[in-house]
Amino acid sequence: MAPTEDLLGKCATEFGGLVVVQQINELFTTYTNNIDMSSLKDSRKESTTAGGTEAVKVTGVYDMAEDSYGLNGSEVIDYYINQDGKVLMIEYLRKPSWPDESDTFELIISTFKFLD
Amino acid sequence: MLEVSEQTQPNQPAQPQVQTEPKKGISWKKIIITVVVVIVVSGVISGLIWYFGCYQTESTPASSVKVSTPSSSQATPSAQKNETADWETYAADDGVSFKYPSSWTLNKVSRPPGKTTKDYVSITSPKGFLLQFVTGISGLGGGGVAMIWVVNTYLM
Repeated sequence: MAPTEDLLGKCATEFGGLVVVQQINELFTTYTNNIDMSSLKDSRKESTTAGGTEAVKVTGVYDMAEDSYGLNGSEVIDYYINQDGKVLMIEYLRKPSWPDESDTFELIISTFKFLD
Repeated sequence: MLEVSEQTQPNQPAQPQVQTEPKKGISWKKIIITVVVVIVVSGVISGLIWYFGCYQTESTPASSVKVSTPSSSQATPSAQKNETADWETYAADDGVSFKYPSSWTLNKVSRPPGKTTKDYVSITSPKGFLLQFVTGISGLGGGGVAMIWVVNTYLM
């Protein structure tokens, strides 16, 4: 996983936040029924929709006993979207010192759709 | 009989006189009382109508605010549409599309073959907020929460 030229030498803490969109090769129902939220405090899991399809939204704040990646206190918003029975995950991560872009993130989610 | 009739005659007119005078007095009192009661009741009713009329007038905006809450939530998508109207649209090859703020910068990154990931795009906001669209990652296991560590490690 080589970094791009513009990211080379930069640390993640230089970024204001992070959104990752990623396909997970797991069955949607099985995966979303077994999401481990033990590393999150104030966690919440709810059924919702994204892109016109069913999704599961998980929110919380990292609170891990071993914080190897310095994520404790980071706000996380995960969307697990049912993409033909598989999981498409869109994750928002914001460390406490980073600006809050959750509203923009939710707007991006509102425009998300699957193409025919 | 005449005496009796004479005695009864003066008594008979007297009875109506006695009866008519109180009747006139009572009716005026009743009229006055009725008028007063009507004025008071109408005043009270008018006051109540005015009060509740004002209350309803004042509560109308409040209720409209309440009503506007769902309408505002209904308006939210339209507001979002307006807000995202000038956004850029990204459509991935694997059939996923989303819009992002036009002030953000999109970079398409080609991945060398043989890796676990395919090409991906990153979208960076002026504030440095980064959105990455990574496809083709499978079999990494763990929960979705763990996935961020991979990308976060990559960014480090």
